[in-house]
Amino acid sequence: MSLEPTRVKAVVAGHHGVGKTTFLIRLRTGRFEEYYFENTHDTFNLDATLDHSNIECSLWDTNALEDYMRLLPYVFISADVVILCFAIDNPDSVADIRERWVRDLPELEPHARIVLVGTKSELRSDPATLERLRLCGLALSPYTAGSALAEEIFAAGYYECSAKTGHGVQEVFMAATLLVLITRHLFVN
Amino acid sequence: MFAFYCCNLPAPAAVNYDKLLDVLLERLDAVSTSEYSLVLFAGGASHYPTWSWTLQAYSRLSRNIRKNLKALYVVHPSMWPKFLLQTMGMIVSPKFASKLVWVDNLARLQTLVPTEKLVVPPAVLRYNQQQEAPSSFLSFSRKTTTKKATVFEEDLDVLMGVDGSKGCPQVILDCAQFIRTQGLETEGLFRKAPAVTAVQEAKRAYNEGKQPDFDALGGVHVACALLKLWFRELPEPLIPASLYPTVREVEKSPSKVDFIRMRLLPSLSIPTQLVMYELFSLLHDVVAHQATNLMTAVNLTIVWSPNFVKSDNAVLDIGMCAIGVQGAGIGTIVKTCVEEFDAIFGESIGTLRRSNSLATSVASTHDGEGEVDGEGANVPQAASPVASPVASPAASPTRADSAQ
Repeated sequence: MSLEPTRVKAVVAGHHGVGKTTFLIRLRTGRFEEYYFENTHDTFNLDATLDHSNIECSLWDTNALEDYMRLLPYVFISADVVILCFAIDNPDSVADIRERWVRDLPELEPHARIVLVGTKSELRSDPATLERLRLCGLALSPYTAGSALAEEIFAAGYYECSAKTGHGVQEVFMAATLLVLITRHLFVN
Repeated sequence: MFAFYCCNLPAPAAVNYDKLLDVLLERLDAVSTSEYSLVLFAGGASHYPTWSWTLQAYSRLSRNIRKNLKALYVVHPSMWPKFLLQTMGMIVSPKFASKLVWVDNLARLQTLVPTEKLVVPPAVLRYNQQQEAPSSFLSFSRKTTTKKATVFEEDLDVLMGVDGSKGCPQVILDCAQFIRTQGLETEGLFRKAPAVTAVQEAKRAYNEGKQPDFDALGGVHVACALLKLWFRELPEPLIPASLYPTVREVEKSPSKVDFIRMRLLPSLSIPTQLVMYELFSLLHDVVAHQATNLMTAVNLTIVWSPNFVKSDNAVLDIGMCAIGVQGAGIGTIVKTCVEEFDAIFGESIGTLRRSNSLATSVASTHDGEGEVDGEGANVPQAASPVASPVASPAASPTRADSAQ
C-alpha cells in the first residue's frame, strides 16, 4: 500500500557450521552451494512484497567463530529480527542457543525479535545420517523439541528449512519479516 | 500482562496526578476481570509519584485489581521505588509484598516473563546499559589485568625477552607439535570450535605452569583453539594499529614476498618475528594437507587474521583483514605468509631462531656470561634480522625437539 518500502534488518546467527551462509545463498540465488569456505561478515539486500507492503530487507550474515566475536555488537546493532539457527543433526548447536545466544542477544540488541530455525531438515529422510547419529548414541532433534526451545527462549516461532532442497527457506524469510511488520504495527504506532 | 513506564511519567507541575490516577484505574478495571501481571519499569524516570499519591492510588484499587494481580515485576528498582513498595506492602498487605518481584536488569526479566510483546522505551534501555555488566562472552581480557598471568595475556617482550632470547613460549611449541603429530589431516583445523571449557582448562594449566593433556581435553581442536586464544589475548596484538599504514602498502607492491621480507618484518620486534616463524611454519604444513583437512590458505587466513589485530576500533581491525582489497592488507599478508612460508621466513629468520636458541643454551650453561661464539652473540642486538642475516654455525637443538 505504501510506496515507501519498510526497511527491515535481519541478522542470521547461530553455531558454527549450521549453514547460515548456505541458507542465505539459497535465499538470494535460489541455488545450493555445498562448499567448505569460511565466510566473513557479509550483508545483502532483498526486496519483497508481503501483503501489499514493500519490504527492503537487509540480511546480515555472521561468522560464529570466536575470532570474530569482537565484531558482533556492530553487526547486531538495531537489528529488527534475529534468525537464530541450529542444525537438527548437531546437538552442540542446540546447546549453543541455550547457553550462549539466549544470554548474549539481549545485550547485543535488546529490541530484536527472534525466529528460531532448525536447518538441514532434509536429513530427516537421510538414512545415512540417521545411522551415523545412532552409532554415536545421538538422534536428530525432533520437531517438537524445536518448538519447545522456541517457547523457552521466547522466540516468535520455530521453523525448519533445508538449504539443500530449498524447502522452507522462503517461509523463514517471510516469517521473520512479517514478525517485524507486526511488531512495528503494534508497538510503534 | 501490563507494562507501566515510570520514565514516561510527566512532571507533576504539568499534569494533575489525580486525573492520571482516574485514567489508570479505568484501564485497570477493564482488564482486571481475569488474572494479570504488571511489569513496572522504574529505571530512567525523572519524576516519581509521591508516596501519598501512591498510597492513595493503592487504596482506590478495587478488590478485583488487587486479587487478580499475579505478580508485580519491578524492573530496575532504585532505592526509592523499592523502599516505597516494600513499606507499603508491609503496612497495607503482606500478600501484596509476596507478589513483588525485583528485577535488576532486562536480561533477567527475559527469563521471568515473555518479553517479546513488551516494548521497552529508549530511556529504560539506556538505563539498562548502565546497569547491566557486559557478559563474559563479549568482554575481553583487558579487564582482568589484576590477575597475574604468566603465559597468557602477557607481553611478548616479557615472555620471550626483548631480543627473543628466552625462546618461543612453550604453549606455542606444544600446540604446534601436537597438531603436527596428531591432526594435520583433521577436517576443519582451526575452524571447528571445541568446548569453551576445555580451552579454558588448558589455558589455566599453562598459567599455572603445568602442561595440559590435549588428548583428554578433546584433542586437536583444543590445541588449535588454545593457540588462537593465546594470540588473541596478547596485550599488544601481533600487528598493532600503528603499523596499518605500512601494512596497506602491500596491495600496491609488485612482490608481496619482498614487501613482507624487506618492509614489514623489519618493523616488527624480534619476538614477534620468531612467533610468526613458528606459527606460519605450522600453518604452511596445514595447507600442505588441505586435500584432507579442507583448510586452504584463504580459509586459514580468514580464521586467523582477526587474532592478529586488537585496536580500539574493531570494525577497522576486521576491515584490515580483508584479502586482496585496497586499503586493507593484513589478509593478503597472512595469506602470503602461509603460502610462501619458505620464501619469506626460510633463511633469515630460521637463522635468527637457531642462533638465538643456541645463544640461550650456551648462555645458560655459562651462567649468563654470554660467552658464545662471536657471530651468534651479535644477532640479538641486530635491529633487523632480515637486513642482516647471519649464518648459523651449528645445527639447532630446538629444531630437533619441535620436529619430533
